[in-house]
Amino acid sequence: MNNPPPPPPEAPAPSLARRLGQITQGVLLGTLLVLALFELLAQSGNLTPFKYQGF
Amino acid sequence: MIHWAREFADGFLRPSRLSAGVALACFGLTLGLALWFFSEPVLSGPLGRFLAKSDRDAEARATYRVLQLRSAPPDRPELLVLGSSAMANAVASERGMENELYQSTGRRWSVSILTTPAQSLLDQLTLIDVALGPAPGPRRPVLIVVEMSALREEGTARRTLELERMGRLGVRSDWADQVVRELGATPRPRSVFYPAENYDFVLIHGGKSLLRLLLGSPARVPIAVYGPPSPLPPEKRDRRKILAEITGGRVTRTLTFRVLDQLLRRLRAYPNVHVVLAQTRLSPQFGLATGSEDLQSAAEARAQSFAADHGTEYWPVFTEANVSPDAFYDDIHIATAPDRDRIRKALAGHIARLVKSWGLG
Repeated sequence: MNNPPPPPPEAPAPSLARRLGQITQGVLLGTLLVLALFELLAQSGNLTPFKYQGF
Repeated sequence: MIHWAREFADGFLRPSRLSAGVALACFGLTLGLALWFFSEPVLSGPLGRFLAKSDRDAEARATYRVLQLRSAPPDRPELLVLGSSAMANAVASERGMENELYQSTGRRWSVSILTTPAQSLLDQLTLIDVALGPAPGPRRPVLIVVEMSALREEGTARRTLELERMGRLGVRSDWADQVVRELGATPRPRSVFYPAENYDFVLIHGGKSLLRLLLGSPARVPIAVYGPPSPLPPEKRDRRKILAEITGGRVTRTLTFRVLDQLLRRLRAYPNVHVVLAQTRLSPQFGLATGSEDLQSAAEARAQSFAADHGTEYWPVFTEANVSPDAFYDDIHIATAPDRDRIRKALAGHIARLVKSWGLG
């Protein structure tokens, strides 16, 4: 009689620190993407802030 | 602790489903925040102070001020000062002007300095239109001081339209659009949706203003942005360019006066609103070095004659304040406190006389 193979070992649950790292990455990425989107649209529309005598 | 930091760094540096989900959610939230922020009710409230992207963003400052005036008009007599950086550097302080007016008229005034660098007449129409709202306008007396200067580099139709297309201000006006049409161009599209109507302005400000909002760090924009303590040496002053702007303005001065005439006509529908013209001057050294004294005097005479023809006042405040030759940082901007004080005093003196004639003094 063959014994059923043992279940694969469960991956260890990610620690709180790792989850925090992942969340921080997501927050930064998501926020910065919006800021980058504004810059990108401004660049593609050839929009630059008005400058007059250095101001 | 080292183990904790290593785990955090591992989670932070590697892509994961969780971080992708959070990024997507934050992208949506920040975009939503941007759309909420760039709306008139928010920009006219306390959060509008985050609009300026830097401490030199006079356009955002003027935008915020007129939106404030439209949404929460002051309950006292009001002074609006319009013009270029030359006027900004001359009057320099809203509080200083309010104090001067209190001394001269015995009444508390609300002063809004709505100057922007190289302010065009279309900018002025826009700012006044937004600040006053639809006719008959405010019940309180409103005095609008419009700067007149030989230096009107925005004077040509081409330059006026070019500046308008830049969308430097975050507000729009039917009055300005009408002038754009009269100049043979098509106004930028209008919309009830703020970011659509002020598309260029929102894109130029978007990233930095949002970042300032998120970090809670507003830029403080001084009114007098030009004029560090030490004056610019003569060899560093671009006198040829300034002279070219003055002579360029001579060719097309009819446009300046045509738009001013239109402004005065429109304001006839506002019983409590009065416009006066205040003259700024370039430094005497500029006049001597370029031989442009006559050009400046002629421009002043035209402004004076326009004011007389239209029954409005003309105040040569720089001359009356006896601005000293050393007051200028460059040939345009005043940088010394005593000269600014004298200019504010000269303005306040005129205003006191005027309000007395209205029976308010």
